[in-house]
Amino acid sequence: MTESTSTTHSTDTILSLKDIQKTFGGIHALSGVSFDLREGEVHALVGENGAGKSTLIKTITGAYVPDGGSITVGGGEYEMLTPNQARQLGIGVVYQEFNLLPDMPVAENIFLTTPPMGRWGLIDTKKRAQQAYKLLERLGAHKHINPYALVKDLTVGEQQIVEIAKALAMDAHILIMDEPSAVLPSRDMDRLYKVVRALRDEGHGIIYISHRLNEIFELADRVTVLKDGQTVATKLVAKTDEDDLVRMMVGRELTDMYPPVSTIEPGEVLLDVRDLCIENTVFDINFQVRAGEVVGLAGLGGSGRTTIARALVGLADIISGEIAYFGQPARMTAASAARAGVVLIPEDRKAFGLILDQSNRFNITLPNLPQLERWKMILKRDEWDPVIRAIDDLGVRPPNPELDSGSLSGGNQQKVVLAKWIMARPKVIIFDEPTRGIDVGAKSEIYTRMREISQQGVGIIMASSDLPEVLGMSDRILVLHEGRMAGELSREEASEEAIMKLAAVAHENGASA
Amino acid sequence: MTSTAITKKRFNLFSGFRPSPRFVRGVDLAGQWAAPIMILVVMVIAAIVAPAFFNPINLKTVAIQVAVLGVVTIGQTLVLLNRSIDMSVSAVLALGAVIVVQTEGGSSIVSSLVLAIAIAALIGLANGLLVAKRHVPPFVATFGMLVFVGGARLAYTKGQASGTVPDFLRTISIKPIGFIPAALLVWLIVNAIVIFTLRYTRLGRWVYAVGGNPGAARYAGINVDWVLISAHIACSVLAILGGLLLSGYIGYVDLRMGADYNMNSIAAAVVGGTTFTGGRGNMFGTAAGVILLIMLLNLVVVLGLPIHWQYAMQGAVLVLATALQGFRQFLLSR
Repeated sequence: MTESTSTTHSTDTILSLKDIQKTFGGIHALSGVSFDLREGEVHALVGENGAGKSTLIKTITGAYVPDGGSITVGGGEYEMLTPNQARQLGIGVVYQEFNLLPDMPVAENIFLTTPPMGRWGLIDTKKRAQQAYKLLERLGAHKHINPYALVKDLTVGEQQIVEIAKALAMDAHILIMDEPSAVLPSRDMDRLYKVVRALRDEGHGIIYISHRLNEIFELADRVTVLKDGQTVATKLVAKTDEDDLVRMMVGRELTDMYPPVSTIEPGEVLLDVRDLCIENTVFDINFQVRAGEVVGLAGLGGSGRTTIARALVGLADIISGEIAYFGQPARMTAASAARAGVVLIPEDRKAFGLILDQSNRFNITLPNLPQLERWKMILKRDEWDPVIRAIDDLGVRPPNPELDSGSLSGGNQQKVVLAKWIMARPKVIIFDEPTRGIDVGAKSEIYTRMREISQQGVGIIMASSDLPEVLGMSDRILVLHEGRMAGELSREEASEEAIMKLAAVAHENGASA
Repeated sequence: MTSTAITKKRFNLFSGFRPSPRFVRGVDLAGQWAAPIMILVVMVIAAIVAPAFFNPINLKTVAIQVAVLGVVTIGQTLVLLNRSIDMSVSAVLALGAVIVVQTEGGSSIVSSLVLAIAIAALIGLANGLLVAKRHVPPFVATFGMLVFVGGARLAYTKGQASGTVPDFLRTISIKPIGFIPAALLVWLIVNAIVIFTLRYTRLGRWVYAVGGNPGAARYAGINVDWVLISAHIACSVLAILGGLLLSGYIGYVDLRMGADYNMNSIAAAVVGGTTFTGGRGNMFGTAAGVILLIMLLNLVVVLGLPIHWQYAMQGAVLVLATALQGFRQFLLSR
């Protein structure tokens, strides 16, 4: 049909995606993404949550079947790849969540699928260790990581290097790294950068996904910006700057997204946390939450945000200290906290927020059954009106009470979670990463609703790693560092710099101690 | 059209296969309606190859067997809905008959029934506590219970069957009410109670929530452990009720009695659309699964085939039903 020959591709392009399309149940996750990767380059992929980065990655690795477009790799053009094909074509991935077996040695993990064979078809363990050592040497980590060490005894940074070695062991020529720096403590960053540069110099093509713009300027050669499932632009890093990237990623002023600040004075104290300690993770936390305020809980990964959120509803083991609910100190379970009107909207909607196999009606009424009962019976006609009202109120799309919640997009699932708890008329709502993985439109709706609820006198705690969100929503911000309270900022004092200073400066003190 | 050298478009079987929503829905419906449709198909086949199946005496046998397995499978379904499983139903079932027969001699039938039900509830409680509080995998916990209860029964009876089945059990099992045996009525009543509970009460919603996603259920303020333990208690009590109906029907207590009921109750529930992964299934499906399985087993007898074909039948039904569910999961994951 077309006169496509190998000469249309420049010789050093090792992966090329053309006009990739992918929809999930009518929602366009990718609508025409083009992307190419050259030999020996670090190509950064950036975009907001929900821009389509992970969908694109899963298309390249064969986890998803695209609806349209083509993938050119290893001298062939494909409509889709299977995971096996992708591996054979030299595509390797280092996911944020490592796929390692913690109780097995490093060498065994590296050569899990392709162990070197010796005589009689048995695994040659000595050769395996030697090859593992060589791989680690290439990555400059042979001095820190012993091939015989168990993976569970390694630090997160070292485990990541094992993950990279594992991809290399499968002859990966194209390496995809999904937010590799997000899981690392800052002292391990430099080592990661070194590894990435070493691989680039060996001629590997690296797709580097990141939220941290500064490391893109440190590391990448080119950058591609995705937005709403489309490629905005691919640029040489040398010919762009941070403001330019942000403009392309966001496409509008960020301030539009957040509702106006609170107009009411905080009321009575709803929660009073005193000297809270939770085993090994959280120490001596004190704070209060008043009616009608939004309290932001900020801090780096592993600072204890989620643990504190869970402890407030009785889902973490409190070692010492106490939490007073509405003036009464108490130890809660999830059930008693929900009855008392203290609810947690968890980060992981699929695991803890919704029963995906059940309808929106089922999910929304689940914690609210007592108020719908008539002679101890729950009848569909009694559920119908409140559920329809809740769905309309939150703008769940499609607005069908009988649709399985699992078939909705992430943003709409979060709205369903919110709908069920708003119906329960709680006094305190704790949000953990309220908008992770949610598209921009739904985000803004959730913020608006959050502000509305707080104006009605509900106390809100918002634990989040998304600094713009913390700044945009919070009336005051508590900053955590490694399980301790690093400081509190009022809305006026707060800025990204001020938060990061508290979250990270304490870190340096800790390291020197 | 013209093949270019670099164009490679390979399709492995299933690899590029993306099911349409309509197809997924179709497989879903097929899963739900497989048992009722198969019942009709088997009836037609029976009418052609084995008219003796419709003999009133045979139908009565089928009805009582449906009732016994039906009662036990209701319990099994409750447990499966909670993402658990109960491998000890056969031991509990046999125990019930032994207790009633052995203790009936001296005391009243009421006290021996109460004792049997209390012991069943304790076994269910133990199963539930192991699974919910100690996080023992349900298969292991209840399999251990199977061996323990079976052994304890043999120790207690010293391996010998004795006593006669009380008249009361004969009555609730085989006495005809109108033209149906009493056992079938017992099954219908239990069904009505459980269906009502699952559909119209909090507890019913909680069962589906716990099975569908225990994490989300816990966050929603449901006492997950309590729901799970209750289901195990209900399952054991229903198993002992099945044992009483069975001993009333066969008229004596056999030491090997009821050994097939683990496998059959699980197979019937799964054929009826209940999944091993919890949160999906209902009692109408279970009833259809029970009827289908008993009809198939009975046909083996009516056709005069070697009885071992019953085992082959049980296995085939379980594997086919599970395969259909697996196919659904596969489709949903694409």
